[in-house]
Amino acid sequence: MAITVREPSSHWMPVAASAAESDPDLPVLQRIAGGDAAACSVLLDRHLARLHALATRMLGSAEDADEVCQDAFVRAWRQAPHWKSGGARFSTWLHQVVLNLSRDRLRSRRATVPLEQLPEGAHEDTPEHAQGQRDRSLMIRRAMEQLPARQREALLLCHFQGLTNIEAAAVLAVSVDALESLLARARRGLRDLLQGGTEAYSGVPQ
Amino acid sequence: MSSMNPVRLSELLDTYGDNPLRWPEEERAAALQLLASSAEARALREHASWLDAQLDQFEVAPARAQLRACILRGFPPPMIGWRVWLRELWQELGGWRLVTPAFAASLFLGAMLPNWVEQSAADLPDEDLVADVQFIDDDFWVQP
Repeated sequence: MAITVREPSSHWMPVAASAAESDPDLPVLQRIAGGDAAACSVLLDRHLARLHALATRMLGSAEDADEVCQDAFVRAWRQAPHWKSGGARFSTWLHQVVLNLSRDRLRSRRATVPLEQLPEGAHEDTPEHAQGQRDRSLMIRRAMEQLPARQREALLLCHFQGLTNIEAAAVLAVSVDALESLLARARRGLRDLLQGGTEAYSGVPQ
Repeated sequence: MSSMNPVRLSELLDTYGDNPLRWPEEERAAALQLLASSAEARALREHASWLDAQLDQFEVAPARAQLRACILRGFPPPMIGWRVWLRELWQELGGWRLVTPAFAASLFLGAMLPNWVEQSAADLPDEDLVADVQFIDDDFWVQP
């Protein structure tokens, strides 16, 4: 029997399998270090959409994600002259920065604003989306918000950001075994939460 | 090549979901081989695919077009660290408008002061200098 390998979803962005491989961002970083503004565009083309999606999923707000991305790329411009090859990939470092900035925002936000009062991030600017799709997306978001932070981050990095297990473990500063444990618990928890919330309308299997 | 069996495949699916592209590279081929040959393995994958389908519905709006331009305006980045400190100190001191006259004045004083001191010493009578030294000397030898 032929086994299908599903095409990557819209969330999926191809990344190399190992941090040990050569980093495709290195030549671009060298140009940025030399003051080449055009090289900044190249780096943005490669990473902005994906990092913005990560921040939006973390924060539930496109405006907050905008600010996080601006801050992250200012740090990237500063980091470029000091970046050394041979360690983690630059994209891994960028994910780490966005994750940390998003965590900071979540912390300060929790001190002031209840989560229920946050704007709906997913489709604020796309009214053409069907109401059903909006509802499902919101339901996933709400379920993910109920997961412990580390589990949610592991799932975001591996499922939506397309990082390999090694890269995601590096971003979260944990071993691959620990990452797998986080992922498995996240998926189990999410399944429980969603099955509780979706049986009513979607005909969930089992 | 790892030893793949339904138990390990189930762990892979529970951890990474049903899309082989998300599985660890070193186990992918063996897992696909097992899926091709085992109905049990395919049922496991079917079970995992429901959650992946749910997750794929968590969409977010793309970044607005202006964001890119905003970020590019941040290049080159503002200076940080000691350079910022030095710049702020410079501005605190008044920048070129105050520092240039101050520098010129110090140059002028540096050049002129030795002449003025020499002139003052030359104007002082020699006997006054000797009397002063003698007075100091007497005080020094006074016993308690």
